[in-house]
Amino acid sequence: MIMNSSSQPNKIYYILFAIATGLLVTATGGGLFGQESIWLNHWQYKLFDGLCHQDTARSFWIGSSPMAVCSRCYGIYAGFAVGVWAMPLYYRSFKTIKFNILLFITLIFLFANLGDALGSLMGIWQNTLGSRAILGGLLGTGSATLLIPVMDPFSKSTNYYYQEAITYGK
Amino acid sequence: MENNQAKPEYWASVGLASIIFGIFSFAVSIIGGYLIINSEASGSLAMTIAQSVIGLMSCLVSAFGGLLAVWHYVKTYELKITLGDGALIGFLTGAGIIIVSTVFQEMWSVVDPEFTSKMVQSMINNIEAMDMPDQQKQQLIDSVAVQGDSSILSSLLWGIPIYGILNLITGMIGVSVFGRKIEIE
Repeated sequence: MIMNSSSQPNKIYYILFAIATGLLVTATGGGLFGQESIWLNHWQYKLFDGLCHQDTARSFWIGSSPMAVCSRCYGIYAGFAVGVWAMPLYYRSFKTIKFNILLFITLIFLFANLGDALGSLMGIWQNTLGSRAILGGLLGTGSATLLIPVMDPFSKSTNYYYQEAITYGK
Repeated sequence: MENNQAKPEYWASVGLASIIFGIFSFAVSIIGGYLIINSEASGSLAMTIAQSVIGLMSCLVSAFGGLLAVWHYVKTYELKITLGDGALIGFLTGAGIIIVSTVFQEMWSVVDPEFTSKMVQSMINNIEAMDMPDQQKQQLIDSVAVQGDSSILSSLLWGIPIYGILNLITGMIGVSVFGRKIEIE
């Protein structure tokens, strides 16, 4: 199947780069900027309210303020940002890997996070700030690699994607 | 093949995913709220593990709205979709999730009018039991009280950008997962 692509510049990678960076900086919280008011009043904290439990005992602290998200969520945002930042470096080698393998690995990271939380809930083990951040980071980086098939940082064209069983155009 | 064929509207897919994940997000927040209300004032900001798991569910699952919306759109219409389409569908789904969730929360305030005040009071009781300087304690109490009075507009203002952006990302991932690249010359 052949389709002409429009020749507009592909800016999506750069937009995603900015979004990933912005999310990471925001998730780091008011402590990064030395905001002095109580953290509940920080705009970063309000932004993530409802999306993360923001348990201060399960969050990293900068100075006298906890980050705007828990350590696991922070790991996810950091891992995703690293995955996006480094995409131009690993894109060419990763695009030779079958997508299902990348998906499988990311799903393992997802279930590892769920299993870690449940294991801690049931008292089987006690996770730590670091272990939660690392597991979250793996999930975030894995998620970024899932964009490999559709995100070419070097491409200048707009690509189109179809559902697998497509008969469109025949 | 016609490249310029008009695309079907994606609102059905956005609406479906928004309703499913909006209700889920609402349910998680209500369950989390009652866990806070029914917990004893421990004098610690640390949540129980059950509360943390509820939070984890909210965080991980609410971000999947974009995936569902893109899957439904591609599956239903079997047509071309660009990365930008996926991003837009994801963002709109994220905005829809927070709107649906907020509407249900407002409806819940009719079912249990004292839900918010009981939750705020429970959090204040907990803060009062904390071992910290009085000034900081008062700041925390004031902040919690202000949060309890937050309006619908405030919920939407804070919720739409972050839910939108997270689902924008999963919408793009959805294009990758459910789409197949076609050859381009």
